[in-house]
Amino acid sequence: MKLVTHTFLTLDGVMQGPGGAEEDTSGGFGCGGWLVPFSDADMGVIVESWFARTEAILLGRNTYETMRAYWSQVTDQANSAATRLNHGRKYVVSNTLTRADWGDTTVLRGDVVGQVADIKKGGRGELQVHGSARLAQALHAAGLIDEYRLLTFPVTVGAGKALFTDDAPPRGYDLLESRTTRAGAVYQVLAPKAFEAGGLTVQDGREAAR
Amino acid sequence: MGAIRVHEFISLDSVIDTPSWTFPFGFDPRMGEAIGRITTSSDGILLGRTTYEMFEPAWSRRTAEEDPGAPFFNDTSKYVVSSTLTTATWRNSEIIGGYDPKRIQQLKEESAQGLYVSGSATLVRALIADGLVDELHLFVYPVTRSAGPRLFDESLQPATWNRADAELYDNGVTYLKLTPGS
Repeated sequence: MKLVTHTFLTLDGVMQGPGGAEEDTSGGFGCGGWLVPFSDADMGVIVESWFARTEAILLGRNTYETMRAYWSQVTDQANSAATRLNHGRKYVVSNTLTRADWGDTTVLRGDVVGQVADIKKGGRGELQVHGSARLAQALHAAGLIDEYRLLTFPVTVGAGKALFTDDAPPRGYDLLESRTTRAGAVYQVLAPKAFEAGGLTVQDGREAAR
Repeated sequence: MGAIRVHEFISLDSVIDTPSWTFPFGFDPRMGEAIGRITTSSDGILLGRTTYEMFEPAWSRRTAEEDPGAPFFNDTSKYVVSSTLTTATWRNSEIIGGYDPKRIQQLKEESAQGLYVSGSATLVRALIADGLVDELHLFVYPVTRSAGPRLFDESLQPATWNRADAELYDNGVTYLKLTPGS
């Protein structure tokens, strides 16, 4: 399967608590809900396009609980995102949950990176991670992510959980798609590749990149 | 009064160190035009010491034929924030001493068009913290550096910016013009 992460980011790279003040206050985070003023129809189109391609969902426990609380109430058959989330295949990473009762959910514990690598080997379609900071950081650091879908909003919040942490190796990306939303966000779809750096050299008396 | 316009080459994870990682992307002509709009609208340059010391050997021997940006950097009045440098050797440069927001505000008021700032991570973070930046021009490269000085560090107060302009270049670089929000 293709492992795809979906992340709402601030300009300063924080992904914690986009949707509400109480969503994730861990570490004393006080800026929860920073995405809400920028939510618009353009963003809705982008997010719908994500769920239209879901084969299976992989979440950290916090994001799982947040999404279950919301989506399990949406019983409208015409809402395709709700249908996929409520009835589709899901994995939740947790060492404390013993059973998960939101539809077809499997609990992953222990060596998550190894287990995700195994899940990727079986089947086709997109294995989608939404939010889930610690899980996404671990998958990014391990180099398991095949595609990053980032929506970056023009706000800075200071300290908070990041997607791109200092301990991950440097990486380059091919930009597969980018566009802006009217409310001020930038959408980027990236495929990872090796990090490259160049320098300047002098050729025939002129500077040139090498 | 002039505006303070900050120009940065920045990675996806907000790192603004020596941008050797920008070279593999080449230079989109529209990016050159965007940078030209920033420089031609400014009549002064404000730099931190480290960037000044990198810019001087790079620009001072370059002619307009070699690089159309050379006259701007060499001929424009430059103000260097440094508590250690005493004399400026690059022409049209003045050392204004250690960082003092009142001095920067005074330079803004004296400037007819505005001050161009590039690189200068420590200075720019201080300018942002003191609300002295009027325009932030970011050229975002699809690279994560992991380590290195960041434009936005954890000491900054939360802030909202208006995205005044955005351009998406074929080489994967995204240009964002940001102005401070309310």
